[in-house]
Amino acid sequence: MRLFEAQALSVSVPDLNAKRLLRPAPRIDILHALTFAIEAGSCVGIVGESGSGKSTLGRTLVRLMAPTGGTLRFDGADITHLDEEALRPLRRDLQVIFQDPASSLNPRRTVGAIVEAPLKVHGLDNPSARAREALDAVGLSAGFSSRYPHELSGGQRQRVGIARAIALRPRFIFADEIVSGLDTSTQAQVIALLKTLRRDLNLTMAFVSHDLSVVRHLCDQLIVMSAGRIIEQGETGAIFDHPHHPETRALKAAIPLPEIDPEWLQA
Amino acid sequence: MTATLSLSSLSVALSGDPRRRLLRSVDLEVARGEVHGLVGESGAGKSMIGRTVFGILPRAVGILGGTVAFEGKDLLSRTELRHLRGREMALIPQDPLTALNPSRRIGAQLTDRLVKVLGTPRKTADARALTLLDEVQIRDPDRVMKSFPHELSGGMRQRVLIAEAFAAEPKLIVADEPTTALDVTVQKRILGLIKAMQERHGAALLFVTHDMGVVAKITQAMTVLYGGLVVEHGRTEDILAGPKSAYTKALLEATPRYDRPDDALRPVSPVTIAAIAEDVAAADRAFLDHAR
Repeated sequence: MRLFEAQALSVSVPDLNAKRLLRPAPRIDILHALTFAIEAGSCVGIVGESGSGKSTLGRTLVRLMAPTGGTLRFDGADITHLDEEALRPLRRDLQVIFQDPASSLNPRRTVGAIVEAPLKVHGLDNPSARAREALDAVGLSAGFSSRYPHELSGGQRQRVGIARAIALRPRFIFADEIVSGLDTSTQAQVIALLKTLRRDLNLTMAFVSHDLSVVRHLCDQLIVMSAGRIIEQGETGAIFDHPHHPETRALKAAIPLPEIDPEWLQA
Repeated sequence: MTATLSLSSLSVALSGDPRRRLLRSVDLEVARGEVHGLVGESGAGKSMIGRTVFGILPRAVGILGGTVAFEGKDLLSRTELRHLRGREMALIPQDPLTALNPSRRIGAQLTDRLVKVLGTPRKTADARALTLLDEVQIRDPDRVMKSFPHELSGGMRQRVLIAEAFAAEPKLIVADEPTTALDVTVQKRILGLIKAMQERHGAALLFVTHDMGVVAKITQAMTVLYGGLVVEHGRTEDILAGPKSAYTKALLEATPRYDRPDDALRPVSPVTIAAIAEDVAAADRAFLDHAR
């Protein structure tokens, strides 16, 4: 089953730098007519250089940004132009884990309160029990509920972000560069955690990253972007084995593998 | 031959308290013209080493003992340090945005070292700055000289700082995670650039990173740190081929590789951490006994 279907999906924003007085601002196109589908239960890696539109694509999927052209379907329903009111019931199904847990967790609230907040917003019963369960699933023991974000390590904070997203039992999670700021060992832990959660909760995920090694380990599908366009998409393994687009090849070649290769820096 | 940089049983600690050491009797040698990797996870003390070399330790951190020498000259002596810093040694910082003054043009910041430290005449300094920007492959050096930092991309700003570091032809460069803020394709270009500059200018380079892949590609020798303790050191090639320390081995196993997608990523195991914590504790006991 296709969870998402995008047809010629475009996003543009007003260019306020070029705006002239009393005239509408000219538009800058961020995403150019993207067509793709995301199967339920799959994990799609979205990769590309910075500025290629990876995060914009993810944000549009969870409708934190509104498409300006084309259509976006979620579970068969057209969500392209739904307003905030109409989106509300969907918000529970579309969750985000942000890149920087330090700035996406309220420093004045405890971990327990942070994870409970969206549960209360959506009026679910037993918010504290559900929060407890979610924190448990990400490996944070009961003692963490009463702590504040600043008392946690980077990896633990990222786990809180994950717990907050999964507590709602969403159908889709958009994870925006969530392991790039972590130490090697912590990164390995978080990747292992995401793999387990995907399996146990039957999650569909879009995972934005510029690290193709991480994507290769976590995602079965791949979308490669460049300058707001999809330049390659398909099964991760197939694209890694035979990258067609020169930019995909460049992205792959730019990953430093931990082995000696004097040619690498020149290539 | 004297090493360009040598640290011998260097210990630094919070408030100078021997029970709260951040660097635990660190030995480190960077040979002339060598690229030496300093590897470890956050809190391992990598940056603390760079800061000790440049005499910019945080106020709360004191040096307990040991020596730091540049070509045999004592860097813990303020007068020596003041003379060498900026001339013989330079730093490429991690975050190019905070390292550049947002309110001054690139040209002015690039020539500061030449004009103020070395007393180079303005015109010569400007010409030198243009050459350096050209060397770091900035296409339009005239425009960049007149730009403010916010007008440049992250990769461009990092190029400017690399050019700046090489301005006075230093013999030692310390690069503190210079590519962690950049995406992979830019990282590769910047690494290539740092290596090319290092070779052309014949400087020794101490390269701080947490990325085993980056270490493999740019360094000849490496030192692995955990909790301020040197866990392993040697030729990069040898360590990658057969790490002697269980911790180094565990770090390599925790690094994802696109060419081995079926290998399970194993975080550093609690057993390995416990063993290394025991080493740290043993080092501390020996140090405290000796201090008594």
